[in-house]
Amino acid sequence: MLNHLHVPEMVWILIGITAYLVGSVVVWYGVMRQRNVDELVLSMLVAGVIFFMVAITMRWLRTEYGPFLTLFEVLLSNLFSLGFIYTLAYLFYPVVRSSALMVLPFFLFLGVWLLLVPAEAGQLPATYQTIWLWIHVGVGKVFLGICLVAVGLAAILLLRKLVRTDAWLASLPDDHELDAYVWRFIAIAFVFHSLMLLAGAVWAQDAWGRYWAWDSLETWAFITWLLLGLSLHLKLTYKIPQWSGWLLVMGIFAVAFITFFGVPFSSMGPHKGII
Amino acid sequence: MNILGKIASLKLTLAGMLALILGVLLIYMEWANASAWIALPLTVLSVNLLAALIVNPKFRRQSGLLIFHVCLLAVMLLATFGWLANLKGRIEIMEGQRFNVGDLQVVRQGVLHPWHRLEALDFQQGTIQVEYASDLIRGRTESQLYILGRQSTIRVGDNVPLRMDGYRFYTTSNKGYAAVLIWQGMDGKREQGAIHFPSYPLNDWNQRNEWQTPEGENLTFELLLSEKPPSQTAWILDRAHNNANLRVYRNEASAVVLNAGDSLKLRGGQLRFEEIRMWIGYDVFYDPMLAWLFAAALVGIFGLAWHFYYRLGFARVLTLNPAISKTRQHAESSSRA
Repeated sequence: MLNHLHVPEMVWILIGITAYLVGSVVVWYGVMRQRNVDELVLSMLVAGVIFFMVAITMRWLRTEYGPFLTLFEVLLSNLFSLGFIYTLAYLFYPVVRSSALMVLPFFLFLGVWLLLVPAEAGQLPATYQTIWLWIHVGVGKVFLGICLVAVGLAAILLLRKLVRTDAWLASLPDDHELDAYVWRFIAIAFVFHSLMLLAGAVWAQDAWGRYWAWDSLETWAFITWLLLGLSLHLKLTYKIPQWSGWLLVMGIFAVAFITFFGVPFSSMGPHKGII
Repeated sequence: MNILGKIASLKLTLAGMLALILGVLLIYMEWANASAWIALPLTVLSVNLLAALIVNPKFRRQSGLLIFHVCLLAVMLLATFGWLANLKGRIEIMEGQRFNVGDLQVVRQGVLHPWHRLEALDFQQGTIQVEYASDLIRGRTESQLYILGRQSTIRVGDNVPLRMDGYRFYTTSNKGYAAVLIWQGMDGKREQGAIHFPSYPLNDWNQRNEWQTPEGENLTFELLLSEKPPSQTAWILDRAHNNANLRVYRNEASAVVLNAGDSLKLRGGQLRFEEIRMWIGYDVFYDPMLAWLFAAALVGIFGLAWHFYYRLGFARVLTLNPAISKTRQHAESSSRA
């Protein structure tokens, strides 16, 4: 981590991580003490988003390319985009606010991980200089953000099953209502994931001369899409038990997480862009 | 339930999806290499979906859902037809050289591919230029092409292929130098050809290739470039930025260095080194269904979004719901009291 201190945007990154840390502490404090801390949590979310946006902007101006290449850049851009999407959900859907108990610590985890990876810039390959990269990455981030909202709610619902006596958890809307929101967000996520696959195929066609080649990233993105479709069919048609649906949603997010943050950096396929 | 109803069963849909996931994983893990592991579940799912579209009344009541699933089926059928008619290949073309379908290395060709359309393509390679940043990081590639039928010149490069009659020629990172040679036999016949040297600067340490004369003499050629690629500064790879001589080995002990324009007497004839040019590799791709695939996928996704917007209550969800906030605030104030 000491190697990162020379990175100009690091100050803003550390402040952003601190904002998410404070938000995590505040939301758990609110639950323990039965206090309404929604506005304070929202402030920390907004602060975190702004600070990460500044950090990305500084890095972008310095490296002359967007945050697409290295694990450091992908984590940084997701700390902004996931924070932004979750903040919108937090602001416009009060029912979602309970999930901050899980989502803010998740942001903190991403922030700590960011501090542990190399911060050196890369070189943007020529195949990345296309509008379709922006569309593909943009809708992909929306997908992951919306999926995170669903997962946060699912995690709270599972927590309520395990800790039945907690007064705060008991005061939340009933399982049926929250469960409906989980699946609505998964449905929106499915639409954006489909758009991500389509935009990715268009980008791949002109970048590498084929729209689909079953490389690692494409394969895992397709598996995520199939799991989303499978889960929606199971839920809407077979009315699977609520708890199994929540576990399924969390499993899908785990696969998506590995696809976004693991596969691109362990695969040597052309999707990595360095050709 | 009649047969069509059984084929349309959602249990079959779920089984097909699970089989498809399994097939994808098997191929990904390289535990199986036959595309049947993916093709078979996709076929089952396509038949299942078609049957469902016919018998399931939900599709008639929900337009968005119908559109999405019809488009999903269309994508599977279009991708299949595209696969049957497609072509993937590779070709290296030198500056000044005309496209010759005989030079194409076919990687994959579908049974319905219209080969005569490929033979009818007519273009000539112009100048090739590749920009490099410091540390030999490859930047922009530009290839100039002359479309002979239209008497026009176009520039292709990264993300911008040559598109001709449905075929796409994509520039690749595979490019290098070629030596243009003329062989004049004792019978007076002249033949012009070229030796392509290994990809540059990737193989800058090994710019050698071999050739056998019409008389059966084996020759090894080594390209001697005047400059090594700089690693500390930006740099352009093209014909103009480098001069080269040609070292010709007739056997282990004997080598001759030729400048451009020099000749070498050999058994049965004379070999003349004309000049150095660039060559570039293209990936060739043909799939007549590309645009239709894109359209079907896009329409399907919008159908899905439309369906979810109205059928899953997004019209209600997309507004603030103060009733839920009040429920929680009431519970909190009660617990504090």
